[in-house]
Order: sequence, then structure tokens, then C-alpha cells
Amino acid sequence: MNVRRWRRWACRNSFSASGIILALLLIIACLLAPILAPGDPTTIDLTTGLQSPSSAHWLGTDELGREVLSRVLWAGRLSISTMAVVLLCCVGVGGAVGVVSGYLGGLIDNVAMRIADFFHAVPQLVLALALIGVLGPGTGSLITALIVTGWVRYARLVRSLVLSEQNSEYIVAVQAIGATHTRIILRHLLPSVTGPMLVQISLDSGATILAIAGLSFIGLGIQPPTPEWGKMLVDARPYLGSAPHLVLPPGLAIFVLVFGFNSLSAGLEHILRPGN
Amino acid sequence: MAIYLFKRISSSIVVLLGVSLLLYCLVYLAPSDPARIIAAQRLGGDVPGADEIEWVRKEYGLDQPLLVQYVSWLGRTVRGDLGYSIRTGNPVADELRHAVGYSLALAAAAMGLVLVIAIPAGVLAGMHEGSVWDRVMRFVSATWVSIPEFWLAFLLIACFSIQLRWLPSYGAKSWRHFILPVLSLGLISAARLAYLIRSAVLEELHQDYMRTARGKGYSYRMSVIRHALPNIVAPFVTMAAYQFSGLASGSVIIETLFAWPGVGSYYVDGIGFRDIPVIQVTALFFASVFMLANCLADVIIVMVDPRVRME
Repeated sequence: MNVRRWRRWACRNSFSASGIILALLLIIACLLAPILAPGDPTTIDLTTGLQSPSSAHWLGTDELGREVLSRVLWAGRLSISTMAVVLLCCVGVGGAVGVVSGYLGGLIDNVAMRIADFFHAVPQLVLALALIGVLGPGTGSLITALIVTGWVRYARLVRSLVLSEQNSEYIVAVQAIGATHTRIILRHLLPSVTGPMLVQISLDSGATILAIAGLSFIGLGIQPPTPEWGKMLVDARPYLGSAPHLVLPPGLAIFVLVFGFNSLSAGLEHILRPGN
Repeated sequence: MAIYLFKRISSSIVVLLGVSLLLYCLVYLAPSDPARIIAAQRLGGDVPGADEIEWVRKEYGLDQPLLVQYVSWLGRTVRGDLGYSIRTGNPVADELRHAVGYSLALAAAAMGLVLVIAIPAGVLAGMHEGSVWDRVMRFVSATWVSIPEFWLAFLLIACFSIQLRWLPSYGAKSWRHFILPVLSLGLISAARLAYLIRSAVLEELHQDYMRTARGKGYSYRMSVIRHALPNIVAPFVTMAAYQFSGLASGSVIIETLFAWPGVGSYYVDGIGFRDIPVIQVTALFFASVFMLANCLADVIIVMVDPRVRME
């Protein structure tokens, strides 16, 4: 990755660049939750319920006396790791299907792409919800549902990239030297698709964070008492008018992460574009 | 044209059949026996005995092979017999029909809002690239697309229902109940669409025919209106159809939040209760709407854009 290009992009798009840095700081803070969080996120103490932010509780406490700051950090840790697992699996499964399907073509390609069409025809959230409905709500179902509905995009993307690369001279050349299929796929095709993949992964990171929060918001994602941003917002609903410190932090945290990932994807797209 | 339409529609039907099979097979992923779930729910929480489970298995045809069950389910669904909700015992068709009206009203209003905001904002920003207006628009859309819609809804409720007490925050009794859900659904989609329109306009402005139009003496504004805008109709229709499908999935969360009695909250209620007939039919409904929107978009494009017609 070209540092000079990044620096030039960041100078011209200072707002997006600061969004990326802010998101990065938030991610680090969330991952360090066991060290940074001032208290346990699930310990209930009804004597200190609904306190406004103060020096003792930086973001105040919720209706059950739990530290909002600890909950935001722990929730972020869980959301970010869930997102990472989901995307890793989606990229792995989708990438494998896409490469094989694009490279081999024929019957395998036809069958794989028709199946992908069926998945693609339903909005992701709707299909994920159907899966959760059958499996029952919970973190495991959430991850399964997001993977089952998320691999398709990568399969299609990788397949189209492989198809466009496949007939390039360098691939024909290595084929002519007698390289095996596995070698061509791993050593030559995969490196050429990493750029567009990174743009898509970055975009999907934000979308996945939103999906996790949204599904937990309607009670079908991560289950209490585990803290989660969407769930924290629902629990704050009765205090919308009286306790803004319960509504603002989880929402802002989601916003910062999603904005950071969207900006990163825009930056990547700009930097990877040939001719820049 | 007729051939194209036939091809487009038949391929949509094939995909819809695939989706229905996919949704039907979902049930078999369930870690527990569907007959046991149905029997337990019929008994209202009591533990069902072995003969009751067997009775349900026979009654619901769950002892048949998967494909036989699927074909008979599909036959009934196509004829409009959508089965009975396990939760309420009412026909799913009636409940869904009731919910569709509410959802359509919400989606139409939100889509109207999206178009009213996004078209002028996007076109103006594209026409005056780099101007203050363009920069404001880009800033607003880049930030708004990152806001979770349920958080926006909360901020709107805090402002207009709790502080100002102008608008109700849940239910669907009068036109005033419409405003907050429509804003929560529409504003974010509008920001996304405006940005896409801006890019589409910019792309056309750099085409040769624009230079020709200017050379013939058209003013900048006239050349945009007469030449650039007709050329962005096709990408615009595709993007708008995509946003419409986005509204459909956004409505799942927003309807639940505002207790709006539409398809989205019906779906979520069914999922919470593992009401399998409701889940299958509602998901299929969403898929059909999605397919229909995309199909319509493609037909409109063929009708308005001679370049596509030639292919």
C-alpha cells in the first residue's frame, strides 16, 4: 500500500481521514475493554441507578446501576469480534466458491451461481431474520445467519474478478509452463483480487456492525445480560427524555465505527484505482 | 421487447421458485423437531406427549419426504392458501393482507420523501461540483449513511415526541403517526440516493455530447436538462429500485420500533415466536417485492433508454 498516496488522500479528505483514525481509536479502546473498563459491565447496583455522567462514572450509569462506559466498551469488543468472525468466514467461503466457480466454469459454475442468485434475491436482513427465526435468537444464530447470507457477495465479486483476469497473458503464460490449478489460483489469481476485496470487506464491516446492532435492537441478536449497543439503545427507550447519557454513547459508537469503515473503503477505492 | 419481457419475467419466476425452496428447507435446519414445536405451541406451553407429536406430524404432513411436502406447500401458497399462524391460529393470508396495507403506505410515503430530497440535492450537487452546496451535500450524505436508522428514530422521538410533544411515538392511528417513521426510514435512504445521483450526473457531464451541446450554444443549465438528465434515467431507476428494497428491510426495524402494524413487525413477531408458516410466507413476500421492484426497474429502463433496447 502506497503511503504517499494515502497521505495525499488524507490531506484532501481530512474529514474522512479523521473518521478513520477515530474509528481505529474506538476499536483499540473496545479491544482493551478488560483493561480500560472502569467496572464490570453486568454488575447490578440499584442504589446507583440512572446517574448522570460524573467523575466517578464518566458516562453515568443505566437504570440498573451498571457503568455505561464499561458497557459501551465491552459491547464494542463483542460486536467487533463478531464482525471479524462473520467477515472472515464470508470471505473464506465466498472467495473459495468464487475462485473455483470462475476458474473451472462449466457445470460447477452454473450450479454455484444459481444458488447464489437465490440468496441474492432476498434482502440480507430478511433472510438472516428467517434463519434466526428457525434457529432461535442468540449469538450463535446471529453469526450463522450473517455468514449464510453474506458469503454470496464475495462469491460473485471474486468470480467476476477471476473471469476478467483469467484470459490475461500472464495467466495463459503460467498455464503454458504447466502450473497446477491450485498453484495458479493461490499464487496468481488470488493476489490480483485482493484490492477490490479489501474495498468490499471494509464496506461490509460497517454494514455488519449495523446488522448486529439492528438485530439485537429488535431482540433477535445478542441476548442480555451481555452488553450490546443495539440492545443498550432499546433498554434506554423509557429514559429517552430524561437520560440522554444512555442514548448518545451506544449510537455514537455505532456511528463512529460505520463512518470509519465507510471512509476507509472510499479511501481504498481511490488509492487502488489505476491511473491515480 | 416482448421477448425481453418474457425472458426477464420467467427468469424472475425461476429465482423466486429457488427462494421458496430455500425458505422451505430452512425449517429442516431447526435444531428441534418442528412437529414438537407446533405441538407444544398448540398446547399453550404444556409438554406434548408422543402421540400428540405424532398426530401433528400426520396432520401437518411432516412425515412425508421433503420434496413432497415442498410441492404441496408451494401448490397451496400459489393458490393463496398460506396456512395458519401457529401463534394466533388465524389464516396467514388475512393477517398478511392487513399488514401489507400499512407497510405499503409507509414505504410509499418514505419513497416519496426520498425522491423529493434526493433528486434535486443530487442533481444540483453534480451540476456545481466543488461548490459550497456540493460540499455540504457530500458531507451530509457521507455522515448520514453511517447513522443507524433506529438511533435516528430515537433522536427524532426524543426531539418531537418527548421534548416538543408534537408527534406520537408509536401506533398508526392518524396521519401524524406517519411522520416520524417516514422520516426515520426516508432520510438515510435519501442521503444515499442523493450521493449516487451526484456521481451519475458527474459522469455524464464529462461526456463528449455535453461539449457538443455547449458548442451549439446551449446554456450550461439547458444542456444538463436536455442532454445529461435523460441519460441518467437508467442508472437512476436501478438505484431507486435498490433503495426501495432497502426501505423494505429498513421497515423491519422501524416498524417494530414504532409499533407500526405492517409486514415488518408482523415478521419480527413471527420470528420471536418461531411461527414457521408466518416466517416462510413473509420472507417469500419480501423476496417477491424485491424481485418485482427490480423487474419493474429493468422494464422501465428498456422503455426509456434506447441504448439498452439495442442490446
